[in-house]
Amino acid sequence: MIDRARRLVTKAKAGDRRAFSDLVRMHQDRVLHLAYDFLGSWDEAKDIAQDVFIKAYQKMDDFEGKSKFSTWIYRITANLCIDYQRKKKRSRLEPLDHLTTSGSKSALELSSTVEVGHKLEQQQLRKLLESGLNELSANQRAAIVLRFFNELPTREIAEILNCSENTARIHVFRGLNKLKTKIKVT
Amino acid sequence: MPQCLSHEELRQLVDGELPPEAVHEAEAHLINCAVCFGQWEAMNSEVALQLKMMAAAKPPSGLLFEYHRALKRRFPTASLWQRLFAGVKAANGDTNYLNRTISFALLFLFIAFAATMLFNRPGTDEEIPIAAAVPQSISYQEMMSVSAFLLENEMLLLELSNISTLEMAFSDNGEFVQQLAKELAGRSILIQKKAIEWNDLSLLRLISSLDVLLVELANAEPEELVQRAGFIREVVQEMDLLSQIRLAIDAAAHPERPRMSI
Repeated sequence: MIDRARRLVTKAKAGDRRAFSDLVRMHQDRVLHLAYDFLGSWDEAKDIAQDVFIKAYQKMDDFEGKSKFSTWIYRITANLCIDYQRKKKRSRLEPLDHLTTSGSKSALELSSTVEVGHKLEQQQLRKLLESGLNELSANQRAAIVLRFFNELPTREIAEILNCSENTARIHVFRGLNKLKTKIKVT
Repeated sequence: MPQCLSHEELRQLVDGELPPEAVHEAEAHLINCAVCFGQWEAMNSEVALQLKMMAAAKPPSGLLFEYHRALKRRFPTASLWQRLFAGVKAANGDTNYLNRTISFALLFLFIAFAATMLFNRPGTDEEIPIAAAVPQSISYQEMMSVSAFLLENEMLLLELSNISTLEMAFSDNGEFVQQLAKELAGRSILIQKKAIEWNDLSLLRLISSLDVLLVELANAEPEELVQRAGFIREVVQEMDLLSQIRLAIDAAAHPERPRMSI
């Protein structure tokens, strides 16, 4: 798979549009999911993910092959998502689609319910985490998403976020602590 | 680098029990030490596990279909013919092209074989009164439900076509393919009957050629499916049969639609 990606990258850099299309097919779903994890909305993720590939195509010459192509494309995804969030200047992100239950009570209401089964507790915890994620800074959310949703090592997170490994750890550390605090407070 | 944190110190840090004067020092060490950081992360397993579970979100199939289609339009892949034509370059010693050419030649042979088998089957022969083979008339609603089913699975198949061989080997996608093929094979009988009822040769040809593939997929072992992942992808991507069948069904419902007579 990696060898195939390398071959395609070499061809795409030489101007082979079909090879780039194959790279798109290889990464399109991961990029969509990553954008969704950053933004919390499938519709926005879909638009951003398309922009990611357009940008990647335009910047193909800049890709030096020092990192994996996937890391490079995730980096573009992270940058576009963070820029998008900043541009929107919203204090809170929309709720993650898959966690929104129609007509469900708020997390606080749920916590006061006496008859809370295990499933409901899990749901409550998820909702808390969801709102906690929305309160993190763009970099913290990005680091948490990359670390726990995509299970990437700190080194790769640092590459994607264009920071040192220590800084990446700080983002994960602060992000995770904020999420824990959020759960405890509620 | 200061000495690594003990297990007890890490636990206290996680539980917020570490004395305030020690917290800052512990955090500073944690940021600089991958080993301690990994242990600290593992101790936050409840939050980490929940976060990992949250990652299992799946996009609505309609959105995924739209997204794939938009990307395919913007970044089109080579068609089967273009790939085959490119195989001529194999003569120059490029082994990748050679491999591709062999793959596509095999694919063509298979399709040709399937077509031969199909049109020699009893029931599609012109001498046999086909209409007599239709046991009962199929309602418009039934066909529309088949069409809706195809639309739904067209998206799934499109998704499937993007699954790599490796991913298929390490997930339950093999079973998914089998289940899907069985379901589709069941529906295809309905479509074939309707095509006969409508005297629609083009629809009959389309569904019959897909049927050959479906039956093969439904009867294959999961391990075989792994080996055939590439083949499945090519067929789904290049032949685009489901779209054509669905469109043919939708169009056939229109009374003014010109039909090819069997």
